[in-house]
Amino acid sequence: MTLLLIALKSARFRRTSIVLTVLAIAISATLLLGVDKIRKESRASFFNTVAGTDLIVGARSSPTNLLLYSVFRIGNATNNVSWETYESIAEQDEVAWTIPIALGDSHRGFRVMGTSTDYFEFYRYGNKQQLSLDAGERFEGAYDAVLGADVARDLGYKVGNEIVISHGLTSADFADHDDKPFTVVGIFDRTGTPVDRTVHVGLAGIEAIHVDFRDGSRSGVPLDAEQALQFDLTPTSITAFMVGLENRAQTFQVQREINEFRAEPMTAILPGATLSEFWRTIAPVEQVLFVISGFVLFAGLLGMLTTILSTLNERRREIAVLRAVGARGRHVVMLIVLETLLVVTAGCALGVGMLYALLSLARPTVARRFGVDLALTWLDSTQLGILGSVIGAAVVVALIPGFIAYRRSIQDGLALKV
Amino acid sequence: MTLASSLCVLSFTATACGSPNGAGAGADAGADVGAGVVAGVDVGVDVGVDVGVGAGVDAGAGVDIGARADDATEIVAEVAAPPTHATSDSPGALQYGDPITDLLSSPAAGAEASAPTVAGFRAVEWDDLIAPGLSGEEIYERYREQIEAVKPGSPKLDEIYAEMNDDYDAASVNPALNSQKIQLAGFVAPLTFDGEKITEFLLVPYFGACIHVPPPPLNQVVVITLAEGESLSLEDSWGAVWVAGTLDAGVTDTDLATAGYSIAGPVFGTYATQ
Repeated sequence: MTLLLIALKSARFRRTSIVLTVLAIAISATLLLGVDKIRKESRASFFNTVAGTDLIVGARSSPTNLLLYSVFRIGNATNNVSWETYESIAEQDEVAWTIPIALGDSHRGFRVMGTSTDYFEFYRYGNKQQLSLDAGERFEGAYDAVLGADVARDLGYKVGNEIVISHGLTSADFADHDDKPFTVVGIFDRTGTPVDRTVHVGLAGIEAIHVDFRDGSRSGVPLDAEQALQFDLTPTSITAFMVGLENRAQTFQVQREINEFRAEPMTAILPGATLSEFWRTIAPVEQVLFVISGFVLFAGLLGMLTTILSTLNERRREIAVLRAVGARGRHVVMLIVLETLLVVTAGCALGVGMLYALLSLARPTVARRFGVDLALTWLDSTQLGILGSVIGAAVVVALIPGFIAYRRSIQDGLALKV
Repeated sequence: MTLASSLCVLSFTATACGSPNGAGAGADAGADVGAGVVAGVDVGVDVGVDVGVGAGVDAGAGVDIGARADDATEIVAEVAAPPTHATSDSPGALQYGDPITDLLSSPAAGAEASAPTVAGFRAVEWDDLIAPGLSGEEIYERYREQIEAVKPGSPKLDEIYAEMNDDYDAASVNPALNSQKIQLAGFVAPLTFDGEKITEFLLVPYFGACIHVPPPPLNQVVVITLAEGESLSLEDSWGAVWVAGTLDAGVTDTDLATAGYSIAGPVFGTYATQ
């Protein structure tokens, strides 16, 4: 206890260098924890999003691209799947259910997804949880919309609000479907998946707002909302669809059938396997990030060592006096180690604080742009382990100056040198 | 690894993966091998690879060129070995389409020794899962006379071959294995996750099945549902695993659509490769 007091009092006189060291340690701790946090959260967000869907089918493209645009709303489709093809596959005996997906429009930066009511029935996320409504009900009419939790929260929408959908992914005025507003009829519970950031409408709604569109822009003969409903609102094509199978042992057979479908080139993927494969290709990036943070930590510890070694010279007399009044050699070592322990613990604490500050700042942007929800959860065992090893490494490093101080404390400190 | 062979690996891997960049580099390298031998000068686009080839052909190449040749080799090594968690250090890193039998019989992988035998479970091979009379060899035997009767290269041969393939793809399960306690090794195609842990997956005999190689037939797939609370980590799923449990062939119903192997709540583990 006395040693701790001495360490604290001694440290007060070297405030600047100690604060800088704490900062260096804090930054490396933030980096290490941040990399681990982002890795875990991005994995969890991605893997929680696909559950219970056996196949995802879209126009012929790379499996990763199909997965990213159909489920995670990242990137865009290369082509569409015709409605006839979709229906003929949906009717096959092996297929238990399908969920059509029509993408391409947006509402104030949030993607709009056209689908059928089967979405409410069969879509699963996390550990096979079904979507549930926080407020309101499912969409029925062509101009009904059900919002994801984030859409409702960020834009302050409630059931009954009217929203205007924009053509394409811009929010430019000229492409608004403002003549055919949608009514919010329901809001989903939070899922922690891209569903939270999606506006869901019926396929008929998507068709209705595009009835008077020709080649991607509004035609000269506009139709109002009521008139559009007079048209046949069966879609001609959809972006992709999810498939649930009767018997999952047949996944590969159905996948092959779809991939070899004569009428239209399509790609069918196993979402889980594709996601795992995708992650396998980016796993080295995760490792590189970890190695870099490790080096930052190494540099931080090295800086700490340099600081202690250089202050050791200034503290020659202090340590010599301590020894003269009866401190033993091990006390001197302890003093140095204790000081380091204080510095590193403070650094780690500050690092954790910085991590949470950064996370809460970055959270909305990251969620919007990458679909990853950086939940502010308490540190898990790996992260505590990281902090523990940072502190452990620092103590080991501190033994070097501690030993040097011990070796030379008497003969060096008390020797007359002018 | 010699430079020439590594270039072959590059072009092979690039083509096999179908990656646009990789395929381009592979094609360039391949072209340059030929051009380099005749002209002794590089022709193509990719500097590292070109110089490397030059060095391989011309022994009197300068120091600088030699050094860059090393770079080329290194790139090749990275392309040739996809980063698999379990086997990244072993010389025989997994390639798409690698059968499980290769991995287990390769002494380099060191896998065989680490596979435990679970008491009460019979170790089976993937071939055992094929119903009697439906293995590739047996199908061929049945068609042998027909094949020998037609002229080589005739369209009739294509028809017979298509028929044989259909037989193989029909791939009915082996009812004799129903309710048997078996142990089987294979690769993982994940189905369901809890967080980032896998709770349900398809066990298949080839690495990268369903993504980079044609999907296996019905009787070469086992749906594995892990017991409540158990899971397989993503990293572990990138290598080979073994599973021991009671095999359900799904043949209890008369309905054909339910056929297919599955194992629920198995004992399982990974092949720890050194």
